[in-house]
Amino acid sequence: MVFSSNVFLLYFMPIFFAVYFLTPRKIRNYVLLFASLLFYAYGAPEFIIHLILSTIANFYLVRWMMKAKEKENGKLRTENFPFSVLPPIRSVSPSGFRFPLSKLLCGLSIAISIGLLFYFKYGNFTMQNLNTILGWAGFKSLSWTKILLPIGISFFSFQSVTYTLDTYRGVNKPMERLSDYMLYIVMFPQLIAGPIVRYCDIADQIRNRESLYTDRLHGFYRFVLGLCKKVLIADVIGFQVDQVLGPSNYDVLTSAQLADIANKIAAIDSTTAWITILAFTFQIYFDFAGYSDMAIGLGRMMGFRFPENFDNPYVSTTISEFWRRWHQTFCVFITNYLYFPLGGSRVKTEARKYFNLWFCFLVSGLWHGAAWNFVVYGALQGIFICADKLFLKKFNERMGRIPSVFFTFCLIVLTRCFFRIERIDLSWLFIKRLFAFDFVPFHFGENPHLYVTMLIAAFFSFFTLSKFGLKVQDKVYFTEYNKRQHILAFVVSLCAFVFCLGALNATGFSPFIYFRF
Amino acid sequence: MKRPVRYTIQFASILVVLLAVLLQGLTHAVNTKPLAGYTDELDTVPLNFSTYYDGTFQDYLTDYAKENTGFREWAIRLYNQVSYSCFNKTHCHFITPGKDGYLFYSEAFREYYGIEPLHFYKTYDNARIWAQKNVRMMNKLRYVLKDYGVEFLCFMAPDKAEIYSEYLPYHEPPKGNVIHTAAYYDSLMTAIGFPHVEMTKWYLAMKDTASFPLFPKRDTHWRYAAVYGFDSLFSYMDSLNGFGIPDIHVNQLIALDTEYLENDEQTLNLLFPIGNDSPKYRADITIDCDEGCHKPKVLFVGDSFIWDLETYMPWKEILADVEIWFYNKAAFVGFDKERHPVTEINRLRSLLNADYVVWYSSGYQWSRASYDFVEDALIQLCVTDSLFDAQIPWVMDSLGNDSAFKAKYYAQHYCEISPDSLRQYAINLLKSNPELIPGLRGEAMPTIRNTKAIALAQQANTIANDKLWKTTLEMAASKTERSFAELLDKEAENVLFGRPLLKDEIQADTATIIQYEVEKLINLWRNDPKQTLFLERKAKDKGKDYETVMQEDARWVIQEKLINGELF
Repeated sequence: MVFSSNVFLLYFMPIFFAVYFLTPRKIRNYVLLFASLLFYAYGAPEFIIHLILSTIANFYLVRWMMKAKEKENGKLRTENFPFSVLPPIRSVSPSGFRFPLSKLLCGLSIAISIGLLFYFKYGNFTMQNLNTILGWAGFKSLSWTKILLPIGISFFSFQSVTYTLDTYRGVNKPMERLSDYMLYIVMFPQLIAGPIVRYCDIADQIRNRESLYTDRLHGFYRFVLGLCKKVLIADVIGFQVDQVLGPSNYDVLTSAQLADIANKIAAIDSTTAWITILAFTFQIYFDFAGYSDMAIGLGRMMGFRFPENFDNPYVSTTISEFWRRWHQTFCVFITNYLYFPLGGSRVKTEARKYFNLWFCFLVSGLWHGAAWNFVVYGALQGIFICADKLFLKKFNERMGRIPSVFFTFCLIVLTRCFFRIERIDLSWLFIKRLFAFDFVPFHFGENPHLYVTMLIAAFFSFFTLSKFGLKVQDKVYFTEYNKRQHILAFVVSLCAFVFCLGALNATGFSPFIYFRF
Repeated sequence: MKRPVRYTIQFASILVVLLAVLLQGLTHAVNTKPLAGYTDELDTVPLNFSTYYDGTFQDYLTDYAKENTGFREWAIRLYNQVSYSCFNKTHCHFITPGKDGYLFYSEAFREYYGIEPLHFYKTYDNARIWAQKNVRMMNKLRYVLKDYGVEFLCFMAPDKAEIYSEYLPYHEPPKGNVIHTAAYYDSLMTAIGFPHVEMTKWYLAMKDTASFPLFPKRDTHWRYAAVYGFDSLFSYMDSLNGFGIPDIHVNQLIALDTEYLENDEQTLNLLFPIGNDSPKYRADITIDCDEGCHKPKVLFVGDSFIWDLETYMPWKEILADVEIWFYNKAAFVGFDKERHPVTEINRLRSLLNADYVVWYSSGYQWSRASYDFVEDALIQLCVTDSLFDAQIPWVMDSLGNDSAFKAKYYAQHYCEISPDSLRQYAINLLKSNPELIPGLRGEAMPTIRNTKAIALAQQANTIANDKLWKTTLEMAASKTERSFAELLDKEAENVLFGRPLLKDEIQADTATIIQYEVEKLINLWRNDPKQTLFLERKAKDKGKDYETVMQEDARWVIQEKLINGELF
């Protein structure tokens, strides 16, 4: 179920909120948990059992891990341990060798989360490449049944990892109740496309949160804002992108359809190519930021404060800054759970430092999809980040703010080719069309809706370059409204909601891009 | 917790709005003007484990929710209005908005810019090859039909996009050796002398002098101006063989003072009308049918441009009988437009029963020509079942082993399928490429005929055109619960092979036939709610029994038909 669908907007959401707010506070978490499981089961019936079982397994593994850790530290009185079904903890082996059982359990918990992620997301990719290599070497291909990707696995797997590691590191205590942990993992606003909420950020809110009426209103405004970004901007622009580059997922295409796309790309002029990739750059931002707004808004209506996921990424003056502003919760995850464990910047050699940086971006590229284009995308981002540290940042500083924003934006736009076109040969073909310099005159009248929408997208993407823009943004997003402002926002939100409904029904169903990751 | 009343009310209002939309979607309690345009009817998918697990129920629910969104009509009209007013954009993908409130059919717009052939044939060269093949087969069909006294000709209806191209929106012209399909067909037909009427040029010549718009601003079809097209068509048909078709005089077009939404504008589903600058017209027509004038039987095969003939022309005054094969899919038989799938009627009979067969198409539809009509007609007329079946093995063999053959007939991806599927593919390939069959190959005119089937069809037509004979068979069919078509074929065989005739076996007298006709009419009325209501009122007014009134009225109608010679 996607947020921008009639089923969600007109059936699930009103019924859920009516029931949620009418039930006593004590059982609201159960209502939310039930609704979240229903939400996931609706869209991915074949994976709901897998989600539930892996969540249960992780919950008990972490509890066991903490018991082991505390016993290792000599702090736990075993008789108080609530989970007595598990076998007694053996911290000393019969041979006398002490092995850290807590570490082992921590590793097992992470292995389950990452293992499932790897199996479902990268199994096909790995086998495909393995068979190619075997073919080159003259061996017979291994048989492999293609597996489907469970929706949202990249997000809930990461949340499981944050819980395990943060608990292991002592950042927070393990959860008392399975239902609370399950709620943390499967809560529907952030279940399938984030933001990736760290356990420590939300632990208190799960048991004890306050939902003021103003929060509910702000949540609704935020939700509608996200819906507008998705339906009125991203979908409009995306339609044009799909016209040129075909559907976003090339896995489902036949070779004839791919050949058609290749022919289409080979035939486009440079003007169309630039408009297309620029359009995609805006589309992906408004699509994903729109989804995050909706998730944050839904959470806030229930009293949750999810972390922000975007901070005007296109006004960045360097690629490093861009990654601090783009998909922030993911970047925080990579920093805390990959970059730091690799040693971060506190390593012996400069080369290792740059390798760590580059490697993190390579992994983040691969996280976006199991295909070589994403590997290239991640590798390029890593190279730019390293270049930033080496010389690019200084170069940008000398250029001044506006030129460096423009320069950085151009780099982002170019790398988007590898993000959108899931075949490296086609990405390369497209880049060649960008620089073929066979420009044709631009005709605004050819598609005014697209161009006006792109202008609006550009305006809001760069709006916060000015102080006034920042002020407006702070007012809209982060400041409490007074009575009049509430009435205005209420009326505007309802009108926008109805308008989005019209757009959704007039233009068709529109799935989100980020569900694939 | 801080709970100011106004925030409570505001939040409650949001929930109320959301729930109101939900309830409206479920109950449709508030009447809203339905949206115009066609959508596929949704097939209900029951909720069970299987439909849930494979996602078909979810897909169904998504579609259901979309179709049953509360106040959907208002929301869609609002969005469409904003899109149209601000960006001159429509959400009906068949309609492309032009300048100054003009609307164009999207295919016609693409055809004008030469994009449409690429959509169908990928390259212009393929489009040319296809058109040449079609015209060659059309000429062969004309040659064969001529043997049986049937004139086959072509009518090229005008394209609004060509006539009012100055109102088209901008589009980057495609690169390469562009062809415009209709113009290319016109040149091919002219080159070989195939009889055809090309209306676009004629309309373009008339455009600046006509006192009325040749096309409505917001309609793809030519509507009232169709009368000029059909006037030309019938004159041309008559000139081909001197049949003596009634003279059609289009005196004038009279502007009507009625406000209305044109067809394409309706499908845009806007909140407000685009404008009131495209008046509706009525055609003032007189038909002269003096001595020696004959009303022809015509079979029309083609697109929706035919319906304006029915609306604006006095159809029954010009034609003796008519059949329309709409896109060669749905057959509308007779003036009452009895509808059947084309595949379920005796196509050979229809072809041979007509005095004229008119293949007609508007310009942008030429890329689809001829919806397999010409191919099928050639096979019906020329190829016996045994000859057709004899071709299947070598076509299957070629599909399997001949790479050049495979490449030519786009069958690469069928090579590894099961033999059964390959056989079906070979059959379909033969049906769509009759020139693969010996006797129909190459440039030469067909040397083969489906003689027996043709003789049967002609005999069946003779029987069907004899009203008494036909009615007798219909009566027999209704009594024996067999189909009329079956008895007709049997009777035709009886005649051809000198067997005893059903007509003679039944020996129905006039009274029996009249009684049968009365019963048939009564059955028809019983299924017509309007007629039933009328008869109920009549019975009440006259103080008689409903059944009695119905019997009396039916008998009176049949007697009148008998007197007028309409019965037999």
